[in-house]
Amino acid sequence: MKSLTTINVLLVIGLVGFAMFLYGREQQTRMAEREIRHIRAEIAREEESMRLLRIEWAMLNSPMRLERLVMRHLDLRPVDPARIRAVGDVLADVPRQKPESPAAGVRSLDELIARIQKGEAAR
Amino acid sequence: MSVMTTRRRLHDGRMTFVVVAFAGFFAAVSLKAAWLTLHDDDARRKSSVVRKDRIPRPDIVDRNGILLAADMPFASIFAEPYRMIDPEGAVEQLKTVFPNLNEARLLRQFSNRRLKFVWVKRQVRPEVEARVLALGIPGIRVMKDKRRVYPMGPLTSHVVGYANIDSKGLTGIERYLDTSGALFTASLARPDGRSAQPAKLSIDVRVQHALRDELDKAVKKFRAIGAGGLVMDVHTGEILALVSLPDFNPNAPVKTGAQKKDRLNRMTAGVYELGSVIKAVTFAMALDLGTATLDKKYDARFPLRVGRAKIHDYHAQRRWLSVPEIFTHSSNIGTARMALEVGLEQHKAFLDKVGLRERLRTELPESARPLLPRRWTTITSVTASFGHGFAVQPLQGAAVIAALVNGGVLVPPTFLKRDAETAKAMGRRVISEETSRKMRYLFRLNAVKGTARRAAAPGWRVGGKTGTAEKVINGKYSKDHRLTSFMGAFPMDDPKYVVLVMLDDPRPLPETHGYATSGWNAVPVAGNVIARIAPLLGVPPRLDDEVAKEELARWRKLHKNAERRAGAGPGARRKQG
Repeated sequence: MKSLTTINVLLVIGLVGFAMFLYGREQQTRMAEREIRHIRAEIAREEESMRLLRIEWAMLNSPMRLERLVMRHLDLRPVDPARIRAVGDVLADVPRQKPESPAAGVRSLDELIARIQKGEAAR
Repeated sequence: MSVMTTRRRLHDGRMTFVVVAFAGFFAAVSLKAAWLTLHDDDARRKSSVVRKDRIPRPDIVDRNGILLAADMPFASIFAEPYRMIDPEGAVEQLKTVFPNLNEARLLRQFSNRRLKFVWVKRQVRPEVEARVLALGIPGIRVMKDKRRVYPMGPLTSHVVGYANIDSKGLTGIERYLDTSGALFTASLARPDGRSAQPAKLSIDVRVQHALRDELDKAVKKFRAIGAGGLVMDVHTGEILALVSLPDFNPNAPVKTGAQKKDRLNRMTAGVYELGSVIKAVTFAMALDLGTATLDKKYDARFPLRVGRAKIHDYHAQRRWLSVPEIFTHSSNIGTARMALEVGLEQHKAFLDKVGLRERLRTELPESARPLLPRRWTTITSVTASFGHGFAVQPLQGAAVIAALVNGGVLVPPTFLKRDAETAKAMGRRVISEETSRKMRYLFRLNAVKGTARRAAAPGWRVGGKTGTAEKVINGKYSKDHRLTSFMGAFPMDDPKYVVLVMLDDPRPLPETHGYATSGWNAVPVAGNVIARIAPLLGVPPRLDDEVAKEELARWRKLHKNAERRAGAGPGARRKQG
């Protein structure tokens, strides 16, 4: 009789404990679900604004608009066909440098790179 | 005793009542709790965002991925005053997002409990929408919708077409996506079902713009009714640019007259007599069948009599002409003789072979059937040989010319991006390589010495054929109203692109010495187009021969003149300022 009571008490305690655990889990799940919903909504919003920005980008880069702006603000004109050359042809036209120059060229190139890197760092 | 039992019964009755009442109350509470827990309420009803679901339309992009058409999402904010708790507070809060709100009007509307629906602000940006939602005002909701937009405006109007408010494609590729191209559209859908890959067209917006710009200038300069043009890859059949003027803005199709009759797509939905351009087809036929050779001569001394009709030449030479001379002088008599020599049935069979006697179908729903005399007789064969009484879609003509210069393979034209292998599999040989080589020679010769010599695109080895057809007005050929065209390809030593320019009723100018034939308007326009697009398409100019140097000198003069005409120009303005 007494052991039955103990078992009963234990069972009740266990039940309450389990109920609390379950309740806690459910709450966690709900929180997680809410978070997922929020993130999904945020993703959808981001996707929408990406879409809008892409459309805006296309509009701003429309060749008709660009040409209008170029005509108004820049001093550009069609390229003379004689100026369109293959890289090989251009190199052939460059006057040949003195034999000692390659080393000098390399040095100046190094200098140039160093200068650019310094400039980048400064910026 | 009886009193006791009565009291006891009364007591029992009360107890039962209390127990049942409490049991009922708890049952109700637990049922409600269970309902709330187990029943997943419809998320849409709880949310303050209303979505209008539309079938997702794929974006349309050009061959380089530049956006031509897209669904633009937008949100509109509305109120449901009957659900509102605190109208003053709501207006106050909304003012933090929209400072210049009509306060008085909104307050009046919000306070009217019988009102079900009031617009607060239409078409707002997503970040504004997010801020409104964050306010969490009861009774303020957001409606999401989509609208089709065309970032390039009128630039690709005739190719892309447009869709209506219900997202249904009405013309052009937009219609194709809904109708005959439904399978293609379905293939673009992503597994999630909410979005789709973009539909990639063969169009290149840079080429499209250059072509449209030059045609637009030409329409203004020659006071033409309209113009059309296209650029096509000769090997794959891809259409890089297709313009028909006047056009419209697909973002506001009704306002810009998209449904007007003169806005039809002249390149596919209309049929035109391409005139002498068709002679090239006759030449290819005669050369391929071997009835003519490049050094053969034909009698062009007198007008040719066929039945009751008499065939004349525009620039009559009144002598025997060799085959190249017939081409460069665009002699009707010579061409007619070549066709007669080939024979009636053979001529018809060749036109069938290149598909000029049937309707050309591409992705564009707008396509017209060729106009030909119903009965094929000697006179129809003769007039068709130089393009009289024989009207086809200009695109159809371009596809055939492409076949004549690309080595002899006819590839069906397309507006969708296509790779070289697919094109090769679709191609059908119509003439031999050798004939194609001869045709290239004739086209180039015509641009160096013949009617197309004003196509000054220096160093890009343009070749082509001109056509000037008299327009039919009130059922009669008119002497003063013409349809001029130029159909050519470049670079002629290994053709890559076919270019077609067509002007509808260009007027003669003092500058053109009163002429209004193709050589004076369509040809220079095509030259300008080629000089603009060839560098974009990666075709290098070759300036090492005499012809090219001459072309270059002419090109420079032309541009100097153009600059002078344009006035002081922006450079001068900047120097002043």
